[in-house]
Amino acid sequence: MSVDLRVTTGPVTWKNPLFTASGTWGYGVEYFDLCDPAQLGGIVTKTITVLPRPGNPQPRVRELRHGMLNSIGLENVGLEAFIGEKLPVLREHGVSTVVSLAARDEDEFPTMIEALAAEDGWQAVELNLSCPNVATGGLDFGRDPARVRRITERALAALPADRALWVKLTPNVTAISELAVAAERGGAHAVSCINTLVGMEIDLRSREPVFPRATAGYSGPAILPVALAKVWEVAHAVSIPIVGIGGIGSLDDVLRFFVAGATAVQVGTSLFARPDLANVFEEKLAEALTGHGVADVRGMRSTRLPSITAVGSEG
Amino acid sequence: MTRTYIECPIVGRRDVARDTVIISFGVDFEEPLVAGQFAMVHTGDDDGYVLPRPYSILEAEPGRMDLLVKVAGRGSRELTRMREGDSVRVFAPLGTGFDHADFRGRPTVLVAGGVGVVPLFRLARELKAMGEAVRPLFGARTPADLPMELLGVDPAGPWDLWVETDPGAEHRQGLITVGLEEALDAAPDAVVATCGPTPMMHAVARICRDRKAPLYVCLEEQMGCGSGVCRACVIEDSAEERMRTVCKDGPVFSVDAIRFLPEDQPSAAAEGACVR
Repeated sequence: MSVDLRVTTGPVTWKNPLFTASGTWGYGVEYFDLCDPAQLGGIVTKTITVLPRPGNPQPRVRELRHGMLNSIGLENVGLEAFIGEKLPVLREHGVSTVVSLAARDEDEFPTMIEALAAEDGWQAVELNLSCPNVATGGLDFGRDPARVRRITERALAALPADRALWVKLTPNVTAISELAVAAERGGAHAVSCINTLVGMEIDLRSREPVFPRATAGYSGPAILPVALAKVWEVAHAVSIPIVGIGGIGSLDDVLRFFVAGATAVQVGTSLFARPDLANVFEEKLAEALTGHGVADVRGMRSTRLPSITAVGSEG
Repeated sequence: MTRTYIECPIVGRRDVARDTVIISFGVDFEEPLVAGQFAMVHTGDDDGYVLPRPYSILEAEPGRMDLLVKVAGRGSRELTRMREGDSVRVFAPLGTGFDHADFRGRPTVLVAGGVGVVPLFRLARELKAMGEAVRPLFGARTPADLPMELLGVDPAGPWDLWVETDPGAEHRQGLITVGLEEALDAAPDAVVATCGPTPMMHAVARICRDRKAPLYVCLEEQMGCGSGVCRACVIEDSAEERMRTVCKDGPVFSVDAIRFLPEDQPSAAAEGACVR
């Protein structure tokens, strides 16, 4: 049986469903000597903001059993340097690129997309809504369904018609499916599930939190079951594709996300130890699907999930 | 720089001091090693730990790389428990090491603390081979922490040994910074390189600042990737509003290029409060 690895989100068809997660593979240009990112469905860049950000003070990372906490603070080169220095390299190497964007206020998302619109070499944006909104006193954009919908609508309006809009959802809410529905109604072509879980580490010598900001983002193998459950929940609520993220360490983990309802996946924290891991999965995915007797990723989807066209509703 | 990224076997191990082992890996590099460069080693995630660990490279010969590993936490404990024939994932050589040009034509004082000796051990030999005058100092907390098997036979020695806790015939008792002051008294135009525990390096930096001695520091920091990607190991640039990575821009820096001392860090660079 021949296997079709291609997956589609909105106007964009990707050669396969394997992506690198934002913040775990730099700007996609750092590992050309180890593996070819053009082999992947795509890379999701480190989150870009309008202006460069130096990020948070030390400590920024702590490893825990089965996972790690990070408090990087969205350190990045800023949109201008990304367009001038990183994007041309990605374009030259034929890398399919999803640009992760974060903003300080709602206006910045369409502003950044308009600046990107003049450029080639990227196929989608992923809105990172987990950054606190300065204007609302630090509340995440991404926790309020009404705001998620509004931001998605404005981003879509600024987006060229041949590019895809992904919205990355935070799991740190009561019902992630409400956010997914809001993104779908706002016109998102896919939702990415999940961003990091809020976590904390305590230093018993000082009897204080390790991180200056007390909490940090938890990722790694420990969050895989949480991510699968969130994808499962979202798959009951929307009919747009879901990009599964969280704790992938093996090809079987990738397949589990497809069963739970994901159309594509992002490999994240495991890339720090194995920068070529998504490529390794790419080389084995077709064989694995064949082994399961399915012709494409959709064939892995649980029969207990609603069929992909039956869920969701126009709002 | 050509990086080697490979699963390779452990081909040797020997104990050299308390909780301190030299482990040899069967790996080849395509280019000569520079003192200060390091390897990321991942023992696999069967034990539940997902990140590789950085170790300064002690020696690299055709077909073999040696690391000096001191048990400091879970990753190093796991590595020291491995045996010949076990395989690990190695990513090396990484980072920007010492530049010989910074040490040419003037005496060099090396201040090593604990496993911080590794990059300086190599630098000492390279500088000696170039005909430069080198005064290597090594500090340890107790006599059991002295890797005499290494230091005793080092052609770049003899090392001046300093031990904090005990008097002894082969070493002096006290802080290594006393040794640095003496060395700079004897050679006021010396350039200094240091690697070791952060409080020691801070003390060295203050002495060098007072005496206007150029100082190169080889830093250790928690790392996720070793490639400048995860942005875990950053330190502030002294001039610009930006971060340098210990893993890629370093681990060796001129102390003037970074905000190394706590008193040099005016502000946390953060804005907003974001995860990732």
